[in-house]
Amino acid sequence: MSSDYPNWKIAGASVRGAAHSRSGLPNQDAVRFLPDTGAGARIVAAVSDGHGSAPHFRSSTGARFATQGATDILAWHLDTQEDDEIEGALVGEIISHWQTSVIADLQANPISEEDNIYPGRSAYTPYGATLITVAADENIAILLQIGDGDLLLGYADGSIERPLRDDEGLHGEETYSLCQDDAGQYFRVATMWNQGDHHWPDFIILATDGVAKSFRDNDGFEEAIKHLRTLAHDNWDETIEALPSWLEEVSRNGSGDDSTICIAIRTDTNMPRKE
Amino acid sequence: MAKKIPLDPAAIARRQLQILLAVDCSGSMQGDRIASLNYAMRTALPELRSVAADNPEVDVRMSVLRFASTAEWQIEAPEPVENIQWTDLTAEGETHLGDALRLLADRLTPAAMPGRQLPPILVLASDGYPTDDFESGFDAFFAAELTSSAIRLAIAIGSDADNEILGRFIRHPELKPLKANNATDLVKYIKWATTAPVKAASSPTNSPDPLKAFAQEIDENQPVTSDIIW
Repeated sequence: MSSDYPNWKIAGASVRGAAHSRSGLPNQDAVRFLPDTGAGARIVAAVSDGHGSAPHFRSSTGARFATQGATDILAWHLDTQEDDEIEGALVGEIISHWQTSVIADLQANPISEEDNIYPGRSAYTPYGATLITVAADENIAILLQIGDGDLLLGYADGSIERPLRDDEGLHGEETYSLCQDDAGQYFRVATMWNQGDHHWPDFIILATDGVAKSFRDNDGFEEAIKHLRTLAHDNWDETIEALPSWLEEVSRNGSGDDSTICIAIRTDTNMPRKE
Repeated sequence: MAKKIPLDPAAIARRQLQILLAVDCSGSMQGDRIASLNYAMRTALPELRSVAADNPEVDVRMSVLRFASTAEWQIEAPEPVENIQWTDLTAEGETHLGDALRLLADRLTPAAMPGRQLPPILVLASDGYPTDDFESGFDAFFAAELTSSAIRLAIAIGSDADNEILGRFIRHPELKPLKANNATDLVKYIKWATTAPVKAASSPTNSPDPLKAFAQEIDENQPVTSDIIW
């Protein structure tokens, strides 16, 4: 179980993409992290990317539901359950919570006739969104993702890795989504245990796909993330303060998409931090 | 004032969106059909430039392939749309769709489309039945690495167009060929097929099936009524 020693720091930032600014659309990404004070022995992070296209006209709301539900559920499980009971039902609970939130929103804000033009859609389609969520304390890290975006872990030797497998069966801009009837089968999940060795991350980053798509290639993106890890460890407060303007610069000169990041660092390490 | 996080400008790039337009220039296209197609492209290009200018995060480029008794690139290197000057196509000969599909296949590779690309847009316009070995052309086309991610649209010109073949090119359960039965339809569809996917791609989105919205737009747009039928 968690100690009370606050050995993680966490923060996030989200900016509206230039294309959405021009068209007057809201930022359709969402980010949430716990504790909201930004430091704790247990952290929970979530980012979500609302699909944004016409059939998903309430996807900014769907993204907000996704991050709220996932962070609350992961925090509750990590704080109240035995570690080895955590993994099983999380995906089902996250989907169920998201669907319940959508149905409640539909009842409070029914869809008008003019918006109800997409044949074959389910009740959840207008709210379609991706989700990346992570919970970690000093013993365990739980990682879940449905759809696109990037989840990377960083280590004291300066390396970074993608702990989840790539999605399969997608073409072009397609993504898996919480709004799919069979969303549960498209979640990618991993649990990591702290074995007391060096293979325990000191850096976690969750990013919607607008960030990586702004880089010329994946190598450029990962180099930038490695650099961000070093800066975050060297001067957390300055880095977090500068994060929104960095995201704006990335999006403005790259994808033009909404761009969102949540990052966490572990502060209880004396290991060298190579870049 | 927050310190700036350094960012290597060379690491950031706009995404490229390539439009590959394959046009049937066989003998049956002679006269009103090829004239209408040339007119359609002349009117579509300013609109396409305008759409591209409205979405500066996307580098929109176009190549044009003509096929008749053989297939050849009219504009081979992907040209920024703001630079394209349309040269009228002429029509004569057979309908070597297979040759055209093989040339398209050569372009639909990561080597030919390097870096972060948006899914390419392929537009095939044809008025007749292929006269060459189109089966091996389809095999090569669908074996190309980027074909499955491409947005594939087809325009059937006139009532003799082979809708089954054009449907095989699209290979999507909800997308159908656009049926241009007269000059008005052809102009409308050429403009739509070259600009609508650019507008959609330029508005960043991700979803389980991005092509569904196109299927609906096609359904809403057909049929166009006119007294003059090819």
